[in-house]
Amino acid sequence: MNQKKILWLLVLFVILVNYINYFQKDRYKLSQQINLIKNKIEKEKRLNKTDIDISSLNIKKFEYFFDKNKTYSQSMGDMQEMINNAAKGTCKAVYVKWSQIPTSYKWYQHLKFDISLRCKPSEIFHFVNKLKKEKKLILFKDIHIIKAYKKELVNFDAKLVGFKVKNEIK
Amino acid sequence: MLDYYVRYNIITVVPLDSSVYLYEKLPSDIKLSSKLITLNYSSKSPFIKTSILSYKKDQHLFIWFTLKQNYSSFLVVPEGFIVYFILSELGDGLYCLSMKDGKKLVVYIKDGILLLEFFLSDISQLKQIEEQYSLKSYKISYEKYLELYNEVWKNIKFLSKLRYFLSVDLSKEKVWNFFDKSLYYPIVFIMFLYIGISSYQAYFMQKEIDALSQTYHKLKEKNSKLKYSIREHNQQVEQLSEFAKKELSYQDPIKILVSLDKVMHKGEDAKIKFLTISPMLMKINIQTKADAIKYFRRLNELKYFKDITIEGTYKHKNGEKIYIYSISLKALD
Repeated sequence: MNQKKILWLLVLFVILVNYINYFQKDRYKLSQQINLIKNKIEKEKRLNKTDIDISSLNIKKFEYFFDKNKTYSQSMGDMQEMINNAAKGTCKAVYVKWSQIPTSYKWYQHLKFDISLRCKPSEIFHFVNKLKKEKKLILFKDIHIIKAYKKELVNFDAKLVGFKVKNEIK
Repeated sequence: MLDYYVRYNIITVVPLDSSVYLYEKLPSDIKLSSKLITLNYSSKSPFIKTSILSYKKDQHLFIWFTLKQNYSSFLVVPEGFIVYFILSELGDGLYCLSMKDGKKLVVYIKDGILLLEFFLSDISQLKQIEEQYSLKSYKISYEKYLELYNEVWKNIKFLSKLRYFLSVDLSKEKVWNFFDKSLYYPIVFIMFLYIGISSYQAYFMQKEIDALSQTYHKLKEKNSKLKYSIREHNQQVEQLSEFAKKELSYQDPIKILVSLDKVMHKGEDAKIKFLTISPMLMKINIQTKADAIKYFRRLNELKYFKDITIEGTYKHKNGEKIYIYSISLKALD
């Protein structure tokens, strides 16, 4: 065997080693990548085939909360107006008091009122019905009903809680 | 099969007419290396420069003398041995084989031992041998021999016996020679083949990845709006569930108030003097002439209440009794 052949073999071997170390692509990884993309495509195709109406995904939750574009005070004003309107013609509002500190959670704030009304027992329900027609979520908490000194009237005390979506004011 | 062995220089078969056979019975079953055999028996060779190919079976030594040659293959097998193996399978006897060129080969096997193997110079010699051994010779045609010869290369027993003719010469010259003739080009070819196939595969795999990625990105872009909406929807659902869990987990006091209609019936002489409803507790004072248990039972029938207790009783100035009920409220699921 002549020296030339050995030299050629050596050169080829060096080429092969360098090819394996630096140039050869990992075919196992490539095949895994192909499978991964194929799975992703399959998922996208499945999603594409489903006839989901985008508008149906939009939950109209904000309708039941006070306007996110208004400040806390503006929203409290709106809620007080609702309470006054509901009480008008049904009960006499003895007082409507704002709670001092607004408690807030991750994405909403409490709008709290302490109210005291004087009215006939049946008129309490008129007041509640009128308030519910406003399409805002207002919860009654801690109700106190005491018969008033005057006959056929009751003192109706309650804590009212509304909710405001906490967001930046535009 | 044999062609393959010969072509790749794995086996060399020394033809019958290039070798001379000698049978030797050894005094005992002793071990003999090829060098010892050469030392002891080369003097018996008809060739001046000779090579010895031997096969030992118990105390019997079969020797084939050939002209000295440098064989490059791993196995150098005398055709004489192949003939012996073929005929020993047929059984003991005196055989006369016709060769391609018309020569006659006489083979005598007794008790599985090859005693004679030589070419006849004259056909009359065969009669002398038959008379000498009092045997009749079996005649085997060249075609039959050729058929048996080709068949024997598929015989595992025969192939395993070839190990006795292994001639591994690890001299530098022979190794290089073998490498040059048998390995150099296959190695170069395999190296190029490996590089070629792996590059070809990787190239097409990469091409497929590019095409698939493009398809995926198109689909992804197409679905992005829907995906965003679904994500937002899920977020909203999560937020609302969290809200409901926190804020709407108590009984609605207005509903409780309405349900009291089932406790205080019209026409009965009873009044609610005091009522307070907090998230977990309700207190109600009922003024009546009737028994406290009557209202206790009615209150118990309402679904909003968990436990009801009569906290106390006192008498009003008009003579009616006022019952104080304390009620714990059920929490919503």
